[in-house]
Amino acid sequence: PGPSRLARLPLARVKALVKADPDVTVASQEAVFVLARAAELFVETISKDAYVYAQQGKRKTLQRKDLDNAIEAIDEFAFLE
Amino acid sequence: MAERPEDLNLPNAVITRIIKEALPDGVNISKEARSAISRAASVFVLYATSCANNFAMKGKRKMLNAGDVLSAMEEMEFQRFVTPLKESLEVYRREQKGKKEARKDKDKKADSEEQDKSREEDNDDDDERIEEEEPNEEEEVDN
Repeated sequence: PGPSRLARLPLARVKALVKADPDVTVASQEAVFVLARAAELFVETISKDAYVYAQQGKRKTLQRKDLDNAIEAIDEFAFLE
Repeated sequence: MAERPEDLNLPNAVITRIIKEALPDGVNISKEARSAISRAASVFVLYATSCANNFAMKGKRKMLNAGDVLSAMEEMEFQRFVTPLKESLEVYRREQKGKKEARKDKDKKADSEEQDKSREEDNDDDDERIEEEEPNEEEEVDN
C-alpha cells in the first residue's frame, strides 16, 4: 500500500473516458495510467472530506448529503457543482 | 453504442474498495453516496483530461502525455497529488520496462535501440524523464 502502488482502476475504462473528449487526438498509455491513479487519489480525498460531515452528524454511514456538503465547502471540488 | 461521457462509470466494486480503505473501520457508505462518488470520479477524469489536453496543445503536441496530466493536477489545485503520482509513475515505468525487455528477442538486443535515445550513462540518477515516451508503447485513441 502507499503512493507507489499501481492503479486498481482498469485502464481500459479510464481510456474510454479520455476518448470521450472530442478535443483529444491521442493519449499515451502513461497518461492514462496517471489519470487512473489520480482518480483513485481523488476518490480517497473526497471520501475523507465527506466523512467529516458524517462525523459531525454522529453517523457511521457516509450519505449523499455528506458529499454534497463537502463539494459545496471545498474549493477544489467546485468543478463538480 | 455512443455513450454520454458522464455515463461512463468506473467499476463499482473498485470504487467501493477505495472508499472503504480511505475511511476508518466500521464506517459504511450508502449506495447513493457511493454512486455520487463514482460519478464525481468520472467527472474528475473528464475535467483532468481536458485540462491536460490544453497543456499538450500549448506544447504543440497532439499526444497527451503523463507530464500534461501532472500539470493539469497543479492547475486544478490538486498539487498534493503530484508527488504520489510521480512515484506511482516511476513504479509503472519500471514495470513496463521489465515487460518490454521480456518481450524483446535476444537477437534484437544486439541492435541497441538504446543508442537511438542517446541516454548518457552519467545521468543515471536523473529521473526527470517525464517527457520521454516510448513510441511503441502508445496506443492510438482515434477520435
